[in-house]
Amino acid sequence: MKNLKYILISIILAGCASSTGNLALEDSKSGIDKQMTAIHTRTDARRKFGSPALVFEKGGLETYEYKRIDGNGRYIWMMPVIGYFMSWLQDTYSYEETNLFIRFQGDNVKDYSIVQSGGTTN
Amino acid sequence: MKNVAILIVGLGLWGCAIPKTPSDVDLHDGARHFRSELFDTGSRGQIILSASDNISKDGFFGINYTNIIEVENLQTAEKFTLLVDADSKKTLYDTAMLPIGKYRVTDAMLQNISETRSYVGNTTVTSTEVTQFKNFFGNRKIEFDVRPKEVIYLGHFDFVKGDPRVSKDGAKMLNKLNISDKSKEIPNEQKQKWKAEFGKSFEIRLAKDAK
Repeated sequence: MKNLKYILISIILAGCASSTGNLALEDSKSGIDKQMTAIHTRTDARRKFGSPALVFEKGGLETYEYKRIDGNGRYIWMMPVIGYFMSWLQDTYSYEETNLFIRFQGDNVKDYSIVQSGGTTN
Repeated sequence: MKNVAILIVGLGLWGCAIPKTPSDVDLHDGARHFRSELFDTGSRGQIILSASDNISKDGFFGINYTNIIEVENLQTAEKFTLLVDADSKKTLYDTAMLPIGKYRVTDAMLQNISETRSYVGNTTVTSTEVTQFKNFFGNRKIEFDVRPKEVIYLGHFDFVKGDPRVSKDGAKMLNKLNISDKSKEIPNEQKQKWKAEFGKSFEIRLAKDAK
C-alpha cells in the first residue's frame, strides 16, 4: 500500500513536466561540461547535439547555439479546496532554459559557454 | 468532522491529479520573456509592438478581440506569437525577446473566445465558441530584423476589418493591416518600466513590406 502511494505520487508529478528543443543537451552545467569533453569540431557538435537552434557570429567567430527548455506545472492547486478552485482560474507553470554557445575557430571549438535562466509564467 | 476532513483531503488530492503540463507552445511562450543573462549573450534582441482593431467594443454587450500577430524567424523557422488584448486598457502592448535574425509576419488575426452555459435539467452544458477574423495582410511580406542586444519598437499594428458587403461602386472593403509609428503615444511611465526591465530605451524601427 505504501509503495502504491509512492508510485501514484511519482506518476502524478512526472505528468507535470515536459521538455522541448535540443533534448540531447543535458539540463545541467556539469552534465554539459562532461558532454563537451568529447566535442572538438563542428562535426562532433552536430553528431552529438544535432542541428543548432541558431547559428550567428559572436566576437567575429561562428557560434552555434543549442537550447532546451524544461517546464513544470505549478502546484498552486495543491492547497485543499481553495487550490482546487483556484486552478480553474489560473494555469501557471515554471520553465528553465539551458543554452549552450559553442564558438569555432576554423573547424575547431575555440570555447563554449552555458547560460541557464528561467522563470514562471501564467 | 471526520467526513469533512475526508472531503477536504479528497478534493485536495483530486486537484493534485490535474496538473497543468506545459505544452511545447507554452514552453516557447515562456522562453520569450526577457532574461538579461540570455539577452547579454548577443543571441537575442527585444521587440515591442502595440495593436488595436476597429471592431472591439467595451461595455456589457461589447465583444473584445485579441489581436494576434504571428512571426517566423526566416533562418530557424521558429514561430512566435504576440498578443494584445483589446479588452484590457492596461495591456495595449506586447513584448518578446527573440533570437536574432530576419523575421516575417506569417499571420495576423483577431480572435474572440466565449463560453456560454445552458442548463438541461440538472446538467450544465458549457459550449465554447471561437470567432476568428483572418487575412489582414493578404500577400504582403512584412519583415523586420532582430539584432544583438537591441530593443526595438516595431510599430502600431492597426487591424481594420473591412465591410463584407459590396459598396456602391462595386468594390469590396477588404481587411487591412496598417503599421504606423505611435511611439509618441506611449506613456512615459511605460517607457521607463521598459528601460528598467530591458536595460535601455527602445529604438524605433518599424516592421515594413520587403522590397
